[in-house]
Amino acid sequence: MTASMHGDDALARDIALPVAIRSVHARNLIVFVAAVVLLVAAAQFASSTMALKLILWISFSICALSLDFVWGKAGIFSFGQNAIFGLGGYAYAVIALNFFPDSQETISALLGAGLVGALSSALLGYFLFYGRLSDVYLSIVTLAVTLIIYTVLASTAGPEYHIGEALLGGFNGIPSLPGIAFPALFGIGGTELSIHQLLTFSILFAAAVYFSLHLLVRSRFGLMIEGLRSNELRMELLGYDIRKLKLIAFTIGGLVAGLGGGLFAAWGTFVNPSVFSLAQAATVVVWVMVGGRGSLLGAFIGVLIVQSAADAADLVITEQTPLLVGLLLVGVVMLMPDGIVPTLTRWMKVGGHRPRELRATLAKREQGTAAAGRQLSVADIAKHFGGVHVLRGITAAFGDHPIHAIIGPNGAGKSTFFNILTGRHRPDHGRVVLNGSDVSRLPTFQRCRQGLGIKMQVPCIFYDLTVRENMQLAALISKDAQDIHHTLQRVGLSQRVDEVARNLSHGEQQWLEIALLLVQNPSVLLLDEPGAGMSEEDKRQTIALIHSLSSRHTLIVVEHDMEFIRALSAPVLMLHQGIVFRSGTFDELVRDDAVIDAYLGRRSHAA
Amino acid sequence: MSRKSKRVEFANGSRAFNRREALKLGLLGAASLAMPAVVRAEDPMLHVASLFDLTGNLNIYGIQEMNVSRYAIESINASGGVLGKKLMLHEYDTQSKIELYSRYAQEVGANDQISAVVGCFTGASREAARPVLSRNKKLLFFPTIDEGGECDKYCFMQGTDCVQQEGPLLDWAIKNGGKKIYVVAADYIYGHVANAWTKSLAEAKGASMVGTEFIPLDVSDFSATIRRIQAAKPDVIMSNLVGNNHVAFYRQFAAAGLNKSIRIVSPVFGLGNEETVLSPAEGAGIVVAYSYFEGLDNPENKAFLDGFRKKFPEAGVIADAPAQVWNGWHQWKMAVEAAGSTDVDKVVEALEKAAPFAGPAGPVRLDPQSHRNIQNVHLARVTDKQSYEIIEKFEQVAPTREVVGAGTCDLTGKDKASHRMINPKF
Amino acid sequence: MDAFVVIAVSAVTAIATLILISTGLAVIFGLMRVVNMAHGEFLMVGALTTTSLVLKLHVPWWLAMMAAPFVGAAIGGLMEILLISRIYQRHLVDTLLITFGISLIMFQLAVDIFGTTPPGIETPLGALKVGSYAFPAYTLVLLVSAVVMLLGLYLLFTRTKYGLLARATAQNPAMALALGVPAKRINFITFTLGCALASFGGAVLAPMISVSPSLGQAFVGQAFMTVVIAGPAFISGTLLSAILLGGVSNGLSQGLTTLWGLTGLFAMAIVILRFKPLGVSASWKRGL
Repeated sequence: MTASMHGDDALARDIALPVAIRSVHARNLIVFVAAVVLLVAAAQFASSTMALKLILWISFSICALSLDFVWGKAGIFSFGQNAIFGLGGYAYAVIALNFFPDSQETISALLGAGLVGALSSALLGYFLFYGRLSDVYLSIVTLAVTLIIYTVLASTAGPEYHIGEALLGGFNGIPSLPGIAFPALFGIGGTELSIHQLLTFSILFAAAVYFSLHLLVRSRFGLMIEGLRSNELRMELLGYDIRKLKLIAFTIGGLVAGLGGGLFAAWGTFVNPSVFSLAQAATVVVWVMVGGRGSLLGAFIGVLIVQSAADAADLVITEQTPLLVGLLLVGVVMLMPDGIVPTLTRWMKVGGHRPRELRATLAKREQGTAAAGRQLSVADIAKHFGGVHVLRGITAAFGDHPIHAIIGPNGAGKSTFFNILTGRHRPDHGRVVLNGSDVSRLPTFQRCRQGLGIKMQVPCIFYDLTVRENMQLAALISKDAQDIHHTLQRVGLSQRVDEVARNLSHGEQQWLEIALLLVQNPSVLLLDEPGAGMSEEDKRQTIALIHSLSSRHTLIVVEHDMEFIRALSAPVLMLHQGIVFRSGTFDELVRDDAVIDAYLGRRSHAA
Repeated sequence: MSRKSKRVEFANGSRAFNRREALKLGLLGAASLAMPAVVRAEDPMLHVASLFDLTGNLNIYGIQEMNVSRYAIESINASGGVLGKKLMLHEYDTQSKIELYSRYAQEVGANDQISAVVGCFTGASREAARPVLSRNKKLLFFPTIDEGGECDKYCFMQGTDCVQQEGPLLDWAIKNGGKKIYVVAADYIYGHVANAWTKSLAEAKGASMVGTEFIPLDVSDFSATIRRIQAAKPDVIMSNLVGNNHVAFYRQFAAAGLNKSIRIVSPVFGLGNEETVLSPAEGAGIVVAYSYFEGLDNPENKAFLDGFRKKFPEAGVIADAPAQVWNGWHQWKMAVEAAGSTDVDKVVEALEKAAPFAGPAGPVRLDPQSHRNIQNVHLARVTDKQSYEIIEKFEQVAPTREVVGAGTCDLTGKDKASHRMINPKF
Repeated sequence: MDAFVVIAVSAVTAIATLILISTGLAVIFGLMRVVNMAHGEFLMVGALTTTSLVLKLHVPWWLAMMAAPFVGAAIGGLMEILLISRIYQRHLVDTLLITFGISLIMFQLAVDIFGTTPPGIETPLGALKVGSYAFPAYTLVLLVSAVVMLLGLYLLFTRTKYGLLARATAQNPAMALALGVPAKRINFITFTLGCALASFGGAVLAPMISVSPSLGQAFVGQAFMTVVIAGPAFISGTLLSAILLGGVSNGLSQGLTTLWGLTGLFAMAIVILRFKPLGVSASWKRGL
């Protein structure tokens, strides 16, 4: 993709990777490869004892990586990654015991472990995310699932509990597993690896997993899940199906955990249900917590520190390991809650946000839509919460004018009405029609895909990402994506492209949010108090922006600021006590006594 | 050579492996590496290991077993060592965690100097360690009672098996209680296999099983079980319940008043000091069967206890499993001396031909086909002072070679294919 | 007929047990959104306090059980002041991990003080006979304790100022603060209350089970499941959850085998979670 293909300077600016950044990539890659080579070389000199310990820690690190990915990168706090790890271990055991005698290799078992990890995560994730669980509930349900698996597997003591040749063994587990063995090809393989060979293999294996995750995190998909972690609501409002995104991220995490579990089983040549215990579930979280959940490398550091501490604790004061690990944990949570790697990198002032360099998508010049294609209307909308009837039959049509204003005193039902339009609430009665199709039952993200742009009162943007990355997220999902640079010019942010959104002024953040909507070329924009918290100058600019947009979009503005409304010169709809109280021009409403009474709370009004 | 295995201070401050010796060995090791000459300095010591849970839930078993292990090694060294060399004990604290049994077994397996291990407590821990040790040709002596099925050339089962315990228990039960037996067993492999034995032994002795229950290890509410027991009206309960939670059974049984009318016999009660966890009234009358009890009156036991108490004055009562640790080390010693080397295959051969060892519970002799010991079995009753009173002695009870439902273990047989773990069918 | 009575008693006992072991966790989670991973250890504290007082100081069992919650409250209160109160603002995982760390510390201290198999106490009050069956009279104490616990909580949260303020803070912390509710003090009381309830539960159970430092780990799984299934209404939700899980589990134990009972409990939990992932009381109007 070169500039000449598009014949557009602005685009070229978007996609050209500065030479400096490209060389940073190359340098990082060389450092990484060199580190791996050094590790492999050093591994040859390790004692058998040390090698055995390291292989175990590497398998633990892969488990920690999976949690680091789903939690640190995708924002899903799962308390059950050890369950997937354990299922991977059991899968390795079952597959290896069944196939190894004939095939003399266990790579299939290792890959099978990863596959089982992915599948079980997908199944669990489906129930979690499509059931709209999040935050606290997600963590306790995942923990509950872990305990359930523990109980079930601990009860499989009889000879009838077997999968092929593999007896599940109940609490005793499955012993005598074959170690890692490559298939016999070209005269090598066909036997189990020695301890040092297994260590070498583990280092390369872990490096491959780490590198793959790293590439994924730096890719478009990585940007999407970072957006998910940064602001789930905004992702939804941009039209992303966040349930699907979470499911994919969770499944990838499951693949990684499963692979770790397979390596664990191969190392110990044994699996049993204790890997599903509550203590083990918490230990995985401890590793990631200590290492730092923002960084993938933190997984390895966390395991190294916690496991060394557990080993060393017993040398310092014997028999008190739980006490010392407990103290370590309390200390880390109180003093270094982000974990060690992020805290250290912060102290050393290295790192910080590294924006991704993505290939730009093919973007269009603004085309807009014909006026007829920019209609939003509602018919007889009613909504109640418990016994409170907030909306009692609202009918309105937006689109005959390019700008509409909605006002109303407190308790009028504006917020609820807004939420009905956006899809956050379903109406109990009535319809919402967008450009001719009934969207009343559609979830928010699908309404956004059909051309509804939503701007929230508090700027709902990705604060941790740069302006460019914010825009890229909006553009990636949109079928009608506009040119990013051009859109930023329209809102006056083209000079701030590489600034992290958090560092913008409040007004600039509001405009960025509008830019996010515009780049998707919506037909109807809903703006919730766009002037909130702005200075007078910023408000003037916002009003000018709204006017400039009105030629190509329909805008519906909910506002309190009467001067703002006046300057919009738009038809005004006033809500009061759940119905359309008055509608007309601003001047008409301002002169209406009933309107003033309603605002001041004087006398109740029938209809 | 020195490794980060776990260290515990003894009550009297001595250690099996202290820093000075580590330094000596370290220097020795370094010196031998530095010498390019073909002749290496000969290792003045023989190396052995023990894997026990010194911390965590199961430490009451492990601490005492490790104590006896140290005592045995020290005692052997004091009387001249083995083949003129002193023994060095490598201790591993498995912290009641199965994965540590895996890991330390791998470490021992990779250590060329160690040739024998006395260790493990539960069947699960044994299964984590045994295949690894066996593959690396290290001998494992397992001190706890078990249910059978082990058939490994390099593994020796010190504890009594189901037949050795349940046979005498059932005899006593039928004579003193009646012929109607109700079984409660822990729901894992041990419990199921033990039950299969109970069934076949009971039928052979003319008793009938009026009920059988398997209780998961996590359960502490036995009200359903107790109701069924009352409905079945047995004369005797055969209990194979295991673990902290299952002690509640005896408590709830007594709370319902059933301990006055129904006898309890158990091959596993007492391994974890259950008699002191229960009150005197709750525990009194339960009958158990082991090879060893502290109260046994013979010169070997007296010498054993005297020496042990001198070394560990604070340690508690010695149960059967720790006593088997003593037997294990001495049987190994005798075999090494008979074989003239620590070469594992030669030692195994010597063990299979060995003369009896005079242990604190009486003579102990290996049955070559099963790798189990022919040993005395004693029945004892829990007194109302939370101690054991020996009520009957069975001399030189033979272990079984049979694996329930699945064939026989014959480790001296020509068929090497039979030298592997046989999964019991129950 | 006799069997029926005994089975009914057993079922009710199972339900009461779940209530006793779960309510403390439910209160803290329901009002503060904090997952107290040390909850099991507070059960243990209550049980060990009771057995120690009875065996060493010869205190009557019922008096020892009333002292237990104070010990739990003291430890919990200390925990709250020193550690938990400083991290409420943070992500929930921080409180989860810190309480997990504390649970490790408490477990090890208990092992150091009491050893891993301390002696226990007998079940008092003997047996009650129903036809040819007998069951421990003490199960009635269990039942009464569970009822008193729930009733007491209901009264506390509906009739006292603390109760009102605590519920307000739970529903809308920012608003409550803006209204001048002393959030720090309320949270302190709530957390301490939860720990005291857990200790009381453990104390009442002590004469029926085996008491050791690992008691917490043995029961925390079931307590956890009960609270997850209960949902936001921490009194009525916990009651319903205990009835569902305890009833099904006990029914299966009685009708089939204990193994079925245990797996049945978890299977029931999965089914409920599938349809009501936020708990049975998630869509109830009553807050308690």
